[in-house]
Amino acid sequence: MKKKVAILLAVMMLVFSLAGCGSSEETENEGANGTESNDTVSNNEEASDGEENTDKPQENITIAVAWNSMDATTQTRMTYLEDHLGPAIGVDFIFSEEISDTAQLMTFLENSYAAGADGLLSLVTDGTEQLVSKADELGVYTAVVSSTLYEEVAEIPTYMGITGIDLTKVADAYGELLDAQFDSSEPGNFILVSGGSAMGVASHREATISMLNTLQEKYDLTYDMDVMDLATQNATTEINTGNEEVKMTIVPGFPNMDGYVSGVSGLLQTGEYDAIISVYPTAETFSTAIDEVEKALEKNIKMLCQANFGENTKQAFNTLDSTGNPTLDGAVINSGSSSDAYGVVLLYNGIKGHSDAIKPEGKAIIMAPGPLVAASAEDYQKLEQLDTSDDMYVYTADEIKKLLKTYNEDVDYEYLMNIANEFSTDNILERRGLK
Amino acid sequence: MMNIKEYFYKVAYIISVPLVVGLIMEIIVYRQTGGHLISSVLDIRNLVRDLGVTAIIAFALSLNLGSGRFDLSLGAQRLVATIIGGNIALRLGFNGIGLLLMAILIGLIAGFVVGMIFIIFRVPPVILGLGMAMIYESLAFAGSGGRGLQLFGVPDIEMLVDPNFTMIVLGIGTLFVFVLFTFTKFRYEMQAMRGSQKIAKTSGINVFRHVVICYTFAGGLVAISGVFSAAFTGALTPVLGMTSNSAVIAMTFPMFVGMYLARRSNIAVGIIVGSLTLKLFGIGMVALKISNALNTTINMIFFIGFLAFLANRHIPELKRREKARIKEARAKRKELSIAS
Repeated sequence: MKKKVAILLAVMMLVFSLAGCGSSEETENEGANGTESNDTVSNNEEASDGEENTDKPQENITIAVAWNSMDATTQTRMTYLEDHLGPAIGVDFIFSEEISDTAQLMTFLENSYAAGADGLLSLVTDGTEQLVSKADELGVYTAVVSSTLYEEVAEIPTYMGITGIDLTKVADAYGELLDAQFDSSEPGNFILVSGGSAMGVASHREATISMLNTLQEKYDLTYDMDVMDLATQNATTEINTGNEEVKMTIVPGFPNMDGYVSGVSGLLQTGEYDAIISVYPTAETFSTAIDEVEKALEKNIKMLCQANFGENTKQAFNTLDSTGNPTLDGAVINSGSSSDAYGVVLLYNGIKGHSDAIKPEGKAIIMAPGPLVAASAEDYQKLEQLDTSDDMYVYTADEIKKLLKTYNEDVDYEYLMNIANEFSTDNILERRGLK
Repeated sequence: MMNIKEYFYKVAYIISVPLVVGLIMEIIVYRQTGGHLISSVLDIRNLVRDLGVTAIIAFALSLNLGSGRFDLSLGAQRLVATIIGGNIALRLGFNGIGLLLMAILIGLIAGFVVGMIFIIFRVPPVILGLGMAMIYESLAFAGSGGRGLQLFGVPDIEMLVDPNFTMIVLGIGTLFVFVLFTFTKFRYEMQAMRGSQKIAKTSGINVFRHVVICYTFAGGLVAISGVFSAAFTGALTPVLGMTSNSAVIAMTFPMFVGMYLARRSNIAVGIIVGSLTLKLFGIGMVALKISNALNTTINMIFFIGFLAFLANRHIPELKRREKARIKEARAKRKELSIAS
């Protein structure tokens, strides 16, 4: 009996050990099978649709993508790259698992190189300098979805540039969001959720600085500390605004920290705050805590945060709380697929030998989409269809082809910058016929 | 049979621990911020929810730790039970209770598998825990397509964030553990195995059955905490790289405090009181608005200090008895020398 049980358990262990290789459902195969481990990297096409490596067309290039998170949004971006963009422009993709530190990133780079990657698009912003330097030694072109261009390595030939959110437009985005929700003549009290700002997350830090500057300008505030110091507070801190009618408290950290949500709930329970503004998606995280406070105090508390395209954001806008208002009142949306598309454009042009055309000074360039603003549920209704099907991607494959010098001789640095500068909600809606 | 006086003494002792800690934190918070530790009904709701999660995980930890085994896969069992069980329940259209029961079922299965592997292959618990943690984390990730369990906006699960429901479930869990440790042989078997598994086996205890029971029930209990956490924050996302254990390891402090307090009562009440004590301490730390890093440092210092106390608490008594024996021996020698 013991022997039979032992054999059964051994078989179960064998089955469980293969579980990570994917499931039998086609839709899951498109997302999950494209995901490769850091240590064992193989061709993406082979895993997703059964094609042999040796059947790859010769003109195809291979781009590895290093993900910094693995969630529903990442799955959408994988689908966009692997199923829409890749086949159209002749790119095979190698995807990583979630990478959280520089060591893992470097391992993925080496494994990708061994698997034949010509370029690497990194969403991991730590260790950019090491990544770029090592990739150059291996002859792998790199682009990083980041808002920080490290000047020390900008002149490395294979470093094509950065495609993270255009920070110069983040302040305008939060300004537009706050103007839509609050009148300058009617001050409010705010909880600013700064996320990883104090832990070195550059995008969170820049977003927090933008919020602080926007509120300072809107309500004519006088902070007693430098905005950078305020943005990087590592403990919950009430800010001296110089205006008795405007109260602000910065809350750093993430929900996985003990007492985090309860702490925010405690602040809300004072009844003094009118809005939570967050640098990362928090509509789900705080929805219960906010709803309870709203019920207890019979007061609407607005939730404004950064968001991504997807079902969760749609649900957050469409779900009404106990006061009859949307759970999510407004969002600054970063189009991840746009950043990815720009990254592929830079890498493709570089790999195909057109670096000089798009890097006129020989330095890495910044090709950054701006953030989109959905100031209300109605605004998001227009945007929610984006990235849900082949003809609704923010950038379709045909539009991306026009940014590749191989397909369009007019492509150069100016051309790409014009495209990036045109990026806006109106531009997207017009291109997709949603206006 | 315990007399009334002894009974009231034990009750007073048990109640006084969280009261004293709560009072100390209230004084500190009031002096530093002008606020209170608990200032509204909503604070009590949050406390009840957090207590439910903490105590349930502490119960789960105590089942194996009480026998000297630290199950490093408990966090991953929590993850796989909540995510897989929760998603199955959602697809079947279950409400909150159904979702909870499905997660418990998957948790029981997950724990059972670990227990069976332990007794059949005799893998050391730490190694087994590490391996199973990686397997279960991968299962949770692959089984949900990376999405985890998304409960935001899902209808008919509002009860999972209702503190009254949390209290009911916690009460059932407490009753279960109380009965298990008081009216069954379980506690005696655990204590025997803590001393020596070989002697326990020789004396007739079915150690293998006991181990499987421990792992199974621990998996079921820890699933409850995962569901409550997921319901409150709107989602439970899968993680890889052994990071699932952090949520469980953080509850070892309440568990050790609870087991210490159980000397005066029983394990179930002890863990509840220990969890409440540390939750009040935690609420105070949050109210003081200190950074998470400092908060964690302070917690760990207290934890290490408590463990040091547990390891050395007998020493003063031993030294006192040794002194008494030496004194008695000297007195006897003096008496004999005078007599001679």
